[in-house]
This record gives sequence, C-alpha cells and structure tokens, in this order.
Amino acid sequence: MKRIYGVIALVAIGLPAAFAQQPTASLVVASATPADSARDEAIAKLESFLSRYPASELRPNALFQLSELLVRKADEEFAESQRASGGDTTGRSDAPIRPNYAPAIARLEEVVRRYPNFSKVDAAA
Amino acid sequence: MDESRHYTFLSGVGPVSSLLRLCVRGVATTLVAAGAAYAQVPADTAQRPAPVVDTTARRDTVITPQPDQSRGVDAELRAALYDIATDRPLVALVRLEFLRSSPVALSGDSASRAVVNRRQDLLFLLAQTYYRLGVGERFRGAAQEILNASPSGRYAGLLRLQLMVDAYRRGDYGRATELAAGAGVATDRGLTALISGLVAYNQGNVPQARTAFASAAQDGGPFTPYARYMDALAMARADSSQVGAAVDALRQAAGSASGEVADHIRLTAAQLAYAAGRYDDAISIAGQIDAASGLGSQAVLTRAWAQFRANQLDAAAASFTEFATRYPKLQERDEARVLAAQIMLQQGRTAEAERLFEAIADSLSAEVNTVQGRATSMADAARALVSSRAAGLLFINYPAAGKTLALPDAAGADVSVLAAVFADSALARAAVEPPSPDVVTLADVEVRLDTVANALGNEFPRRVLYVPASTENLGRYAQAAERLAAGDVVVAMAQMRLQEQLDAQALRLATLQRLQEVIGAERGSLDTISARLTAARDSLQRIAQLIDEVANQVRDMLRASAVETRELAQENLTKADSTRAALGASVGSMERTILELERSTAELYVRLAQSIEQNVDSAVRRHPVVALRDSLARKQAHAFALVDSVRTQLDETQRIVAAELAAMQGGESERVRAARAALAEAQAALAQGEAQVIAVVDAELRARATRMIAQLRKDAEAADFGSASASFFQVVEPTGARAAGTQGRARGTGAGTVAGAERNAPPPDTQPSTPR
Repeated sequence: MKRIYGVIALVAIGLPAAFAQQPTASLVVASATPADSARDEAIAKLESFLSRYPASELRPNALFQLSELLVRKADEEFAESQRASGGDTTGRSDAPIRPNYAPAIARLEEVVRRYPNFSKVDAAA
Repeated sequence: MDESRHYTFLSGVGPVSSLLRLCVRGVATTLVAAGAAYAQVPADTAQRPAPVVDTTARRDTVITPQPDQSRGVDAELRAALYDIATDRPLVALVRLEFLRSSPVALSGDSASRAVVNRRQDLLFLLAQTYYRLGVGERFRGAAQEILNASPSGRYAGLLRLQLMVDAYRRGDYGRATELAAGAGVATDRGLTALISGLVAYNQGNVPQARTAFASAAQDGGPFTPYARYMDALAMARADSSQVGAAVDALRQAAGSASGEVADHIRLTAAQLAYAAGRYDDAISIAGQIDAASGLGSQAVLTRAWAQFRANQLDAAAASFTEFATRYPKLQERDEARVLAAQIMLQQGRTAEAERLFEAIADSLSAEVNTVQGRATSMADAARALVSSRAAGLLFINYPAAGKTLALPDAAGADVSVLAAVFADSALARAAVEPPSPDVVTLADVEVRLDTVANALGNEFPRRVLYVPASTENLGRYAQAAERLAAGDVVVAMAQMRLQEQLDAQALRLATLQRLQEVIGAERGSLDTISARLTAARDSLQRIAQLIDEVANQVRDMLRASAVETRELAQENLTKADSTRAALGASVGSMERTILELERSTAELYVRLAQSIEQNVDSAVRRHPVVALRDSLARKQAHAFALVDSVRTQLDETQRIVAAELAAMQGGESERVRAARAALAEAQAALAQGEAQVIAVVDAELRARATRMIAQLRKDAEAADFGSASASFFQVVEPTGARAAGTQGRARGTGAGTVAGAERNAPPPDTQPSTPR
C-alpha cells in the first residue's frame, strides 16, 4: 500500500498524469482493495468518456460524477495516509496534511465555467 | 349416267373446305350452265328433272357498317371510360392518345358543338388517366385546358377538386386555397372540405380548419373518420387545455372506425395523452393497438414512454425491450435499449445495467463502422430502389410513425362520379363503394422493401431506409419522381403499342401459316378430285367406245336393211314394169290397178330405204345415249378445265403466301420497327429521368447514412456514459440500495444518468398525419 502514496504524490506535485499511469501505477492499482479498484475503474471509465466525447451534452454529468469519485478518492487516500503516518498533521512527515481535492475541483470548475446552465451547477459551485 | 348423280359425285368428293366449296360451287355452276345450254339438244335429258343445285349468286351476308366518324370516336371514348372505370388507365390512355394524335378523329367542323364536346370529353378522360397514373404535369395541363375553354362546363367542378387535391399533394397550399375558394368545387363536398381543412391546418389557421373538418365530417363519406380525427387534433392545437377533450374525441372517432384507420386514430390519441401528461390514458389507449400490427411500433414506444413517465419502471423496461426486439430497424431501437438499461440503473441493478450499456456501446460501435463503410457509396442501392420504383417509400412521412395517409389514386373521381359526369347509366350501375384513404404503416413499408432486399444486397445497412426523410431532398425527389412517372407511362404506352404490333404480326403470321396449310390440304383434295375425274373420264371413254361400236352396228344394220329393202323394192318395181309390159294391151283395169299399186308401193319402199340410208348417221347421233355421252364428255372437259384453273390459282396463292411468310419470318414489319424505335426512344428518355431520380436518392441515402451515423454515435455516447455511470453507482451505492424510481444520491448531486438520456429521447411524435 505504500507505493500508492508515491503515485498520489507524483500526481499531487504536478508530474504528467501519463507518468503516473505507467505500468508501475497499474501494478499499484492491481494491488488495491476491491473497493478502490472499482472506484478507480469507474474513474477511468468516466475519464475515458470525457476524453472520447469532449463535446458531449453529457459531459457535465460525467464531470460531476467524476468529481465525486475524485473527492472520495482524495478522502480515502488522505485517511489512509493519516493512518500510515500515525495521525501526524504537522507536516513534518511525508504524509499530506489535507486531502488532495485539486483534481475534483478542477472538474467542478470546468462544470461551472463551461456549463453555467447545468441544472446542478449550484452544487458544483 | 344421271346428271344429278354426277353433281352429287362432284359435291361429295373429299373434305369440302370453304375454298373447295367455292371451287366446287364454281364447277357446279359451270356445269349447270353447261347443262342448261345442252338442254337445247332434243334429247331425253330435257325431260329429266333439273339437278338440285343452288346457283343463285348472293351478296356477302356480313354486315358492313357505313363509316361514321363521330360514332366511332364516341365509341372509343366510351371504351376508354370503361377502361378507366375498371382500373385500366394505361389501356385507356393508349386509346385516348391515339385519338388525340389521330389527324381525322376529331376533324370536321371544328366549331360544331358535337366536335367541341368530343374534344372536351377526350381531354377530360385524358386528365382522368393522368390523374390516376400520377402524371401530375400532364394532368394539370389537360385539366387547365378544359377549364380555360369551358370554365363552367360539366367537368369544371370535378377537375377543380382534383386540381385542389393535386395542389395539396404538392404542398402548394396557396393554389389549393385558391381552388377551394373558387366556384364550382362541389363534386365531392366531403373531400373538398377535408382538403380545405388540411390546407388551413397546415397554414396555422386552426379555426378555419375546424370549420372545414366539421363540414367534411358531416358529409358522411369515406373521409368522415379522418375529418373527425383532424378536428380533434385541431382542437388540441387551438387550446392546450382541450387536449383531454381531444383525446376523448379521438377515442370516439376510433370507435366508429375500423382496422388501421382506427389504430391510427388511437395511436394519435395515445400520443396526445402522453404529450398532455395523461400517462395512464396513453398506456391504456396505446395498449389497444396490437404490437404486431402495422402501427404497433409507435404504439409500443408510446406505451413504453408513458410507463416510464408514470414510474412503472418494470413495465417500461419490458416495453422498451419489446420495441427494441420487435423493431430492430428503427432508429429508436438503440434509444430504447439505452432506456431499458437506464431503468436497470434506476432500480439499482447497476452491474446488469453496466453490462447492458457496454453491450449496446459495442454493437453501436460496430454498426457505425459498417454504415461508415457504405456511407459514401449508396449509388447501387439508389439504383436498385429506383429501378424497382420503391424509392418513393423513402419520402413518405416517417414510415415508422404510420403517419402517412394515402388517398385513393382516383380521389374525388371514383366510378360513380365519372358515371354521373359522363351521364352513363350503365357505368353508374357498375359503380362500387369508393375506396377509403389508406394508412401507410411500417408493415406496408417493410413488405415493399422486402421485395427489393435482393437488389440491395445483404451488406446494405437497411436501417438507413428507416431514417426520416431529408426535407431538402423531398422537393427535388417530388419533381424528379413526377417526371419519372410520366416517363414510365410513356414507356408503358410504347410497350403496349409494340406488343400490339407484335401480336398483329404474330396473328398475321399464324393466319398465313394456316392459309398455307389449307392451301396444301386443298391442293391435295384437288389432286384427289382430279384423279377421280380422270378415272371417270377413262370409264366414260370406254363406255363411249362401246356406244360407238353399238351405234356403228346399229347404223350398219339399219343401212344394210335399208339397202336390202331398197333393192327388193327396186326389184319389185322392175318386176311390175316387166309384168305390165308383158301383158301389154291385154291388161285389164283390175290388173293395171294392181300393178300401179305394186309399183307405187315399191317406189315408196325405195324412197324409204333411201331416206334411211341418208339419215341413219344423224339418227344414231341423235340417239339419247349418244347425245348424253357427248354431253358428259363436254362437261367433263369443263370440269378438267376448272380443276386446272383452280390448281393454277392455288399454286399462285401458295407462292404469294410463301413469299409473304418468308418476308415476315425474315424480319419485322415496318410498323413493328417503328414501334420498337418509339419504345427505344421512350426508354432512353426514361433512363435519363431515372438517372436524375437516382442522383436524388443517392444524395438522400448518403445524407441519411450521415445522420444515422451521428445518431448511432449519440446513442453510443449515451451507452458509454451509462456504462461509466453504472460503474460510478457501483462505487457510491455498492449495495444497490437506491429505491426504484429514484436517482439516488448521485442524482441529488446532479450526477444522474437519466437526465442525459431523457434529453436524447424525444417524446413520441404527435404531429398529425397528412394524406397524400
């Protein structure tokens, strides 16, 4: 489970996502729990959908669902990292001091920015 | 030989055909004439009864009518009228076009009323044939010519009605309105009012439309159910609060109709109820339509949507699945499959939903590839559709909706109307109930398209044919198709004319061959007669020889007797003279008297014998037997001469017939060649017309393929999203605990999938159908 944090960390510091999706990452995902695997699979499918249909009318729905999964993922990864670091929130260890919602926020920002008439735009904001 | 037997013999020889009878009659007549001449011969034949032979020359008993141009034209026109009435407009057209092009048929005093009327009749019937055959341009030309010449004539009302129907069919509502407003459109008030109402409805003038529909419904004709149907639609269109009343009115109208018309009205009622949010009514009404019937597809789809809206998710899923299964060719199929999966998702069956979404996405992706591969090469399919004259199916109102109502070809001019206009009482008695409008359903379209399946080929993506027509190609197609229809008619007429000529040539050939056979047979019979005559002649010669011998014997015997008598008489005379000389003067008066008596007796015998000697030949010749022999010989000679003459004539006829046969078998007649050339010319013109239509259809098929690919991609997109969304729900609600019919928490956050799918799926079509 340790290595997963490494991957998350790579993403968090802004390395190219492609790097994070190298075979190493696949191995890490493969060793995740079934719940994580299902979540990551759902994230992958939604991201694939967004990639394949950039102009889809369903894009805001997909972004919204994806953001929710990313929030979950961030929460769960943060909780795991906290457990691994023994609850340290001082920042002295490598563990993050707060969940990384940046990916989810980016998706929600796109919803707000590109789909102002989306029925749930208020929730996104 | 008895003469009557002789005639009987001649008459009884061999099979007596007409030709032979003619010959025999000629022979018999000649013989009888000869007999009459020989009757001058003082012989016993004059005493015998005359032979029973009819020698009276008679005129041909066939009645040959006097040529009567006007009656002939009238007869042709009546025949054409009956051809039209018996649904043979093409036959009528051939007849009428012949009359029109004939330089003499309508000649005469062009100003006379009769000629003018006949011209009007001809033009009117031509207009009727073109109207029925769908050759609009020619129909309009003929109809307008009559109206220009006689705006208030007996045909004006009917023609204006037909022109109005024609204008409506072409979408020329302005012209239709103009005709409806004009005077004299009263032949069929129901149809006139219906078309007026449809025009007003299409132009957005609902109050006027309703007035017209009410008038059409009151007429009670075959258009009454449709007028009621349209009135209900107009009611709903005028006031949305009246939708409920409109639905009720449609239900009532459906109750008084039957078959597909009733289903058609019910379907619209269900769709209206759905549009008004009366889902239970929609479900109930749509459920009355058999899913396997021609209008079943839209009934099932309407029911499915209404069930879905009414939150009857299990039923809706079943209905969507039924639709997708029953009607895989329709474009709504994929949407229905997506919705069935969506319902699973809503019911918390996320894993099942995901699998179904993935299956849908995969199949659509494959189909996109297939259609894409054909999208740019539709020319062959277009050619196949045009060649089989099935391309029109592409341009009827969306066939899946069953919204096309086909008016009868003779709309407004059924047989009873024609009979009334033409004042033909016999035709009026033959008139049947005018046909009702016909609903063109999906089933009708499928049956027709099945007939083109082989020509289209297995690889052709047949779903393209069920994609709604493009507006931009509709007008182009209508124009090109009308020209094509006209070309079809011209070719059909040319084919009929060629066939007529070929039939005539075949008949002539068969007749000549038969004549040749008859001549051969007669030649054989003549040979038989000749042989028998020869035998009779030989027999007669032998008899004649015998008669000659007997006659000679008789003559010799008579002559010898006469000589002997003369010599004895001469001797007696000498003796008498000698006795008188010996007695001299002593002879007494008694002796003198005796001697004188003896002498005169001897002289008498001498003269008698001399007379016999001199006339014995003549007497023998005049003997009846000899005379009859000579008569028969002469008649026999005549018979031989006649037989020879007939033989010569037969040989000459045989030669002429053989030459004619050889000429006919060696090549086609000039008329056939001319007809064949006319057909080739018509076919060439038709090929050009076909090429134009094929170009339009090709463009239409390519446009449809493009739209279909876009729709498939959209459905694939929905399925892909559904699959991703199902994965999402498996994560956020892994227990599947969402209550059926709810969107769960995800929906609460705006991330539901139904919203997207709903946006993709339009509600059922509630547009009115329009008759064509």
